[in-house]
Amino acid sequence: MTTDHDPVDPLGLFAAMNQVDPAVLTPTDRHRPAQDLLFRLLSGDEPPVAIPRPRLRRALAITVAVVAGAGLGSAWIVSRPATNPLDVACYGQPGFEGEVAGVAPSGTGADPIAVCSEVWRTGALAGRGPVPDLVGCVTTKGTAAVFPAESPDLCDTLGLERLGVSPATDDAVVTLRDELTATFLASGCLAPDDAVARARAPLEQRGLGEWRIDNPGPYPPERPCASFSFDAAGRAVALVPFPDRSPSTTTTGGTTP
Amino acid sequence: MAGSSEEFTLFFETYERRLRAFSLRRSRDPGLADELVAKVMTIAWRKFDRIPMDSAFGWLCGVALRVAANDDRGHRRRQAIIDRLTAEAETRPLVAYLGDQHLLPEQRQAVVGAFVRLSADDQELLRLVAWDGLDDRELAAVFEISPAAARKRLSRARARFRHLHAGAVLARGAEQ
Repeated sequence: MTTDHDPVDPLGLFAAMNQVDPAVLTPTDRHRPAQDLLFRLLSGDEPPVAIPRPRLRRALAITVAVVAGAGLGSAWIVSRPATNPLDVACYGQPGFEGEVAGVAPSGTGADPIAVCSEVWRTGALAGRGPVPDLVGCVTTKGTAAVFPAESPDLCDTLGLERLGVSPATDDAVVTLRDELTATFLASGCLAPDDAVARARAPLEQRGLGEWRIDNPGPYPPERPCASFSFDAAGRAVALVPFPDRSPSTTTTGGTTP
Repeated sequence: MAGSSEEFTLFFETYERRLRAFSLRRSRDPGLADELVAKVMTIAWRKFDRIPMDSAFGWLCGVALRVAANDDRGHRRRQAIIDRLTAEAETRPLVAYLGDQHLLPEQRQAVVGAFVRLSADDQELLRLVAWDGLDDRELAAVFEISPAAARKRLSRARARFRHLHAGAVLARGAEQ
């Protein structure tokens, strides 16, 4: 990787110092944290992450906050449609500049205003203090967004729609996500046909019978299992080929000394 | 959705280990490295359709550096813990280091002595080239500049490094 440097060039000598060769690390398909991460991303159960501002904008913007989700579930930056009830974006200022925390409520049927009130109470957005008046909007991408403001006129000012009552299916979708994610994690490897069957039953039970189950495949040998991906806006559960993580085929991750 | 998921899976499998190595070089702690990889790959997942695939690893490194910088600012309460972990890692190598054994102590001292006198930007640039193996195009993606500008910055940083290194070698010779 870096061994082609001139050895008399200090950069060549520097390259020989403190170098970690990726080849000595556990391969991705056997590194458990990586496989867990990939599964969570594909299934819509993303880990908490704040998206950093682009370099040129950082001078104008306050640091993006990541919220420790105590009592709330995980914290996220939201980029999915608001018709997807799985996420809520909480802004620290009455506008898009400044801090933003995305939250995936762990409970069901959460009111975005209540969710963001809890975020404010943690002090994550502007330090600990009284929770300001909050206004709920829906972004142009359909994302629920909550701002500190006294009047819902702010939504109009920002070119957003005002947040309406959440669809009655919100609870059911959140429960569905949690249930199918747990199903996959417990199985390690679901055969595609089995995955379809496993998804069908909870959809019916949760009153989501109009949802589709997309199973486009194919399933190559290195990804023979089906994991779940959720598209709440499109009302679909998509099956995604995934490596076999069942205990007989995986090893514990970690670095190779 | 499924199509993009498959493409992302391939992307993930292509770059995850290299990104983990990048993170390990800086944190020297596997847990912190996995944490950074998770953050960067999550952002990559969300912005997948905007990643320049001809310099994807550079893009990932740029995101990683910004995430790490944000973490430094936004999680100051965790800094003491990270410092402690880093300090522990300094004295307790957790990953394989290559090549270091080929350097004589005085060589190492001269290189380190010159390197630490470089600006933070120069240091990062040289780390990305020497340790992470980035090419001009990938460097450009990290710093959001053109490949030509990246080449120029690298050339200048290398010249400064050589100058400082030569001075360190001469100073050491004069001491002996």
